[in-house]
Amino acid sequence: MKYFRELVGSLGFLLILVTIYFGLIHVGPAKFFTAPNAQKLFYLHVPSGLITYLAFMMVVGGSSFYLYNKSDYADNVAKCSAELGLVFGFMSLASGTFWMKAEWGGDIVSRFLTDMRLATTLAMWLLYVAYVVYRRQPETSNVKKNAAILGLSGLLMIPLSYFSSRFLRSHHPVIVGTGDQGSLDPSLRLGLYMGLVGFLLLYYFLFKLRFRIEELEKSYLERRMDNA
Amino acid sequence: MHKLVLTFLSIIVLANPSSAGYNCHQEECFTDKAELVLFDEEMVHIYYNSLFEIGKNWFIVIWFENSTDSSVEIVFDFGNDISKSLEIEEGSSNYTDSLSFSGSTFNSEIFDKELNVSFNGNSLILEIDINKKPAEDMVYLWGGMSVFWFAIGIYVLYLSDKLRTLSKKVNRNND
Repeated sequence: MKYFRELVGSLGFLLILVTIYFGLIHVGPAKFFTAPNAQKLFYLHVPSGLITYLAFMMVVGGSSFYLYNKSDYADNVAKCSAELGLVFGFMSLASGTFWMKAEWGGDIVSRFLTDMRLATTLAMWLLYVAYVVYRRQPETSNVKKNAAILGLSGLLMIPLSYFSSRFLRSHHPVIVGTGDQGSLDPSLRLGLYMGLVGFLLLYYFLFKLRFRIEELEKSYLERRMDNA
Repeated sequence: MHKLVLTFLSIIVLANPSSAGYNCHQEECFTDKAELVLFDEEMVHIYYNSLFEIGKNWFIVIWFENSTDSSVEIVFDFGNDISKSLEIEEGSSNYTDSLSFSGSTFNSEIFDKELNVSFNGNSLILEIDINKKPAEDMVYLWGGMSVFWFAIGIYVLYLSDKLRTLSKKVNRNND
């Protein structure tokens, strides 16, 4: 199908708009929250956080394959997904900061330093900032190998961030993957799933687009090398 | 020394106009005024604000400038059992009193809400706007929501710029 990628992207975008409408207008004011309006960020904050984990797991997977069989395809997957992880991670961290300021109050910097979920997630994000910055240089096999090793550090950082609110000192609520997920208000659950599918489709679209650009760039460079 | 500090602090707290309990009941603190003619020439002046801010107590001050031969009950009624009354006693002269509706009387915005003021069978209708101030956390919601569009927008611009530059390079190379 010729425009499958664009169709998926549009569908994802539409679903995000529906999620926003659902969260802001359809569902009534949130109960049991200090900041009932800022709580509406839940519908996009949680999905963007989960997509960040997915993107960084793709980096880990791509890096592992590259180290295993020197596959350029796997290296491209890791490189493109790392960028997307930064974009979605930024969304999650920034929206979470706004929500946190409204709901918990207090000093943002000290929250990031003392709450383990926030600290480990920021550390994970910064690690992949380093990864993306490192990749902005001519791609020799040595650079690819070092980047793959750096990308693999997500093996430690992703679970550390994800499980930090369960096992370390943190105020961050834990919903996904716990008993609380089942007891979520049905409206919250529906909004969460819609947002998640919307972001997943958007991730797919952006990933395919970025991957295509990467392939074009590499084939262009190869042709230039051949001509030279 | 401690007494001096305590006295100083007490003065600061009491002098602070935002301290709980401070409410201006002076004529100039009200934006609107209505007048009732009770009997032949006996006037009751009603001072009020036509804007009722949810969360803040809403006051009405009355001033009865003449004297009355009999007692008069003035009822302020918003409907739905939301009403209060004042009684001007017989023989009162140059009488001032006030009443208030709690800031939690209403919880949603209503425009031109009718307040029926009745006295001895006569009535007068005042139109009040019930106003709900924007919630303080709205700014965080807007900020947080903007982040998503900002991030997606910037990244899409970055990708399209990259694609455009690449296309130019490829075309130049083909030429």
